Amino acid sequence: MAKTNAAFMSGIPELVVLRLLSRSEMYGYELIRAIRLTSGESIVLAEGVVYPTLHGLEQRGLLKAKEKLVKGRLRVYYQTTAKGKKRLVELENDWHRINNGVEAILRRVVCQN
Amino acid sequence: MSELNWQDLRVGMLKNGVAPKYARRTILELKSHFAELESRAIDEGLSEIAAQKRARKEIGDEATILNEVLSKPELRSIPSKFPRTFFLVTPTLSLLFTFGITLLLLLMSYESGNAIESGNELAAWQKLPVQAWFLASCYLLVPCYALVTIAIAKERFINPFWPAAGIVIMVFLGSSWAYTLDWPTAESAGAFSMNWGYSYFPRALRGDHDLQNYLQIVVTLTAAVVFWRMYDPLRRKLIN
Repeated sequence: MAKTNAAFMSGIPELVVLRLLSRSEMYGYELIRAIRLTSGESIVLAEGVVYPTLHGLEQRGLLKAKEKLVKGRLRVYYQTTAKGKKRLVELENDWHRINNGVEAILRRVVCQN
Repeated sequence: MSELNWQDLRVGMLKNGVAPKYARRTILELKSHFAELESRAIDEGLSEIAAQKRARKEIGDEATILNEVLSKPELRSIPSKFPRTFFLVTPTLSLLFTFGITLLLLLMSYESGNAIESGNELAAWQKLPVQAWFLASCYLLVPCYALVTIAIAKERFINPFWPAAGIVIMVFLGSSWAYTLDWPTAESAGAFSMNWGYSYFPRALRGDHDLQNYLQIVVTLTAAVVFWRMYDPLRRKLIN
């Protein structure tokens, strides 16, 4: 399966991760599966790159991490914090505004053609 | 090669200033993730080799992961972000602060008069904290600083220049002060004194020679060099 074009992904992992982890805590592998499933396989990342994103968000206080031993494997579970939820609202607003703007441009160009 | 080269990835992160906490966690999570991808592929009927090959493709290569980690400045450690502040400014200020506290203790003793008047013999438990403070600040603080600095620099693959400069400054500054402490007895009054200065040069250069300070410099710097060279073999031995 082709990986998602990186140029279109700026800021999206942060939004997607905060959104999914605001519902329930997940560990990396589970989160990647959730991103694939929820996006209908339209967002496909090199799976290893999700961890730096998670760690960056944790360092900024937007996520909290908890280590758990499950079936002999150490897993790190992440969940969105209150600060993360505030950031999520901002990102969602930005996303809707930009998305509406791009949609409007695309519709206009299509109509002119 | 089937799995990712975890050691190269870890060293790559540390050499580029990533905090050891995040380097360790990234490797731990990637290993666990790789094992899950591999198990899933085996469950789907792939051979072990084919499963590892697919897991490696899905997880991404070392360079992609490393670039992603390095694109997050928030994951860099403080010593690698601010080496001069961390290895030079902060320890020097801490040492000066320790001098200040010691001076304050002396002044308070002098002001109160209780500790120095004759006939006012102190109990052992009253003497102990003061003795411990002087001993630690005079003889233990700088060697401990040197050892901790070396461990921090080695663990983070930091260029040795700033840590070495910090250790040299701390050793010279730390060995430049000395104190004398005479406790009061029934017959005589007590006396505290604190001297600060560079008295480690030979008599020909400065008049009188203070062997104690000279030894402090030589011993601490030698110990630091030996510890620097021994750190990696010792660490390997401890881990294995």
